[in-house]
Amino acid sequence: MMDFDVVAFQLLNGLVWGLLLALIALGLCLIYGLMHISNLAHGSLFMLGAVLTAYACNTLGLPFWGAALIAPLVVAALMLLLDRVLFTHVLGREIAVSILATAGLLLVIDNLVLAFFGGEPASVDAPLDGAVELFGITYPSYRLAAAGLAILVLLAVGLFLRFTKYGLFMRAVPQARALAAATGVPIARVNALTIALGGLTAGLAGALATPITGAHFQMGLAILAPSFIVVVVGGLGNLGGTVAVAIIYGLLRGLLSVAMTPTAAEATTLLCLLPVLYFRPRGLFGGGA
Amino acid sequence: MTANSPVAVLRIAALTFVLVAPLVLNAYWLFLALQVVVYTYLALSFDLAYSYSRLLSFCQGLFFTLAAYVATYVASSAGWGLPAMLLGGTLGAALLGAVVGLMLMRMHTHAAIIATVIIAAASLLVGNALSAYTGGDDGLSLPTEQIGIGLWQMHSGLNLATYYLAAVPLVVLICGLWRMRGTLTWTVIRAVAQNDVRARQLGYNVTLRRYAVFVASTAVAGFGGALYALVMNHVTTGLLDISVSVNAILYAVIGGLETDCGALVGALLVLPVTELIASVFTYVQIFVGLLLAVMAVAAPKGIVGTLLQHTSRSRTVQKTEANDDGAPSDGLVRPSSI
Repeated sequence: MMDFDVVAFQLLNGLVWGLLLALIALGLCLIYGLMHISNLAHGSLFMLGAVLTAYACNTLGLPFWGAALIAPLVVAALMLLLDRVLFTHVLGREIAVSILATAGLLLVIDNLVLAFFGGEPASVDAPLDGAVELFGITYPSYRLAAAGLAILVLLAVGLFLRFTKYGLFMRAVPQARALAAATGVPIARVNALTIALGGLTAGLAGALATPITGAHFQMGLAILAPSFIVVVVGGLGNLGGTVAVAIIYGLLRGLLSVAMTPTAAEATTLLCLLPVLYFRPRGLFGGGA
Repeated sequence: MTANSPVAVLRIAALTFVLVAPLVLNAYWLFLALQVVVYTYLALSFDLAYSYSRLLSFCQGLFFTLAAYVATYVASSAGWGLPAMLLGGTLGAALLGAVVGLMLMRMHTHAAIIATVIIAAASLLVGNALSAYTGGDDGLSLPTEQIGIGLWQMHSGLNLATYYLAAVPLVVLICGLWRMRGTLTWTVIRAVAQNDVRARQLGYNVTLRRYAVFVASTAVAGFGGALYALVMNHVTTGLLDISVSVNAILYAVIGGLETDCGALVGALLVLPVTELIASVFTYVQIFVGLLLAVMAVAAPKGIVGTLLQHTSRSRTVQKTEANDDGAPSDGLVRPSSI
């Protein structure tokens, strides 16, 4: 392969990764925007989506698309349960309470997965094994399909927020919580829906990533820094900014992967974005914080 | 008995235990006690950063680990390994803390906390990417087991000298924090932490004070990290795992945030319990996570904080009863913070 081909291939990889990262960060951003909770266990939801998909495919023998549909739903159901037992109790309290509680949750989920599914990485065959010619290079079809699906989900969430009643509630509550409550907005239900939606998108990102990266109980920790940095650099609570920075992050990481190992590329991308917070403490696009 | 005697008794009991542990514990439990002492520095650094610079920092583990690596690298400094390790580790951590603190102090509280999570997670990636220098998961060992000052040399690892080298400064530090509580400097530090708007109105440079406390907290973590290298003889990038910081945070939360001895009390209670559980149940971190979540929600003040609150209430009740008995009341409402 020529150098240009390597760069194009890695940039496409970066774009796919950036879109999956946008899916993960979307939930993080929504939950922060609505409830002012920074869910430290959000990466674990991504990991759970991946591990459940791998388990459903490899052990239960489900087809990939079936597993990729069920796994995010299970993660969303788990988040609904957690809303009752945890998130409701930290809502409106000091920042430290929610962050420490979700830090504990991170340890619980990661180690429960380790206990039940083991520590060995699991791989899943891509449901589409062909490749397409793009910009003069051959690129795996599945990755493009995953990217396309991620775009569709991002658009669907955008449309949901823009044109549905609950979408309106989700946008309105952070701006005027007391007024929303006084006018009959079911705040508890809106919170639960937001949390479930966050679980659904993170779980879906994990499911879609499984044929690309495999599944491992520590992959949630690996995604923690990238998902949080795109949310902060995008502007805390700013959905559009988060998606844009996630894609920029993916492309930069892809470009750096041409010259270095994936771990070094990830670390360098993070180190490139961190100084942005010094010069723009409220992120590139501003935010609610 | 004074109203705050339960906390005073707990503080004295914890400090006494740390000092007499080598006389009453066997080698296994003494090694555990040494770990308690070393990790208390990390927990204390978290507590200082949170309580007095209002920064819930998940990256204290980075300063701890950096110091451990610096200490490992300078351990063989011709005859002066001990001061080189302790000073080098502490200064290295404080220098990095000064740089990181510059960024964090510019940020909104919530964004700054998230930034510490990012820094913590990124530091593990960087540590592994630099495995040529850090040794990665395999880590680095101390180049020599003879550490000392000039002619006085001692062995690294678990022994009486290393134990007291770690324990005595911790006792001094906690007693220092305890004694500082009544001073004007401490009142200003607390005021700045509790209400930055009013502190600014009174003319205090809030950012500078918070920054100074944060850097001091990283130095405390660094001192602990240097001791870790000295007593463990080995350091790996595994220390950069966020769960190490979360465990130390748990000690501080269980003991009680914004208290001088909470971190020590928490470490003394939790570390041995987790060790015992780990001997029968591999996935002890499930227990740690559950405990942290439950404590954060149900008892965020921790043991010492709850005791202080309880005794403070008792004092108020006693005062009210005294006033009801005929003592004149000045009718002033005194705010808890400035």
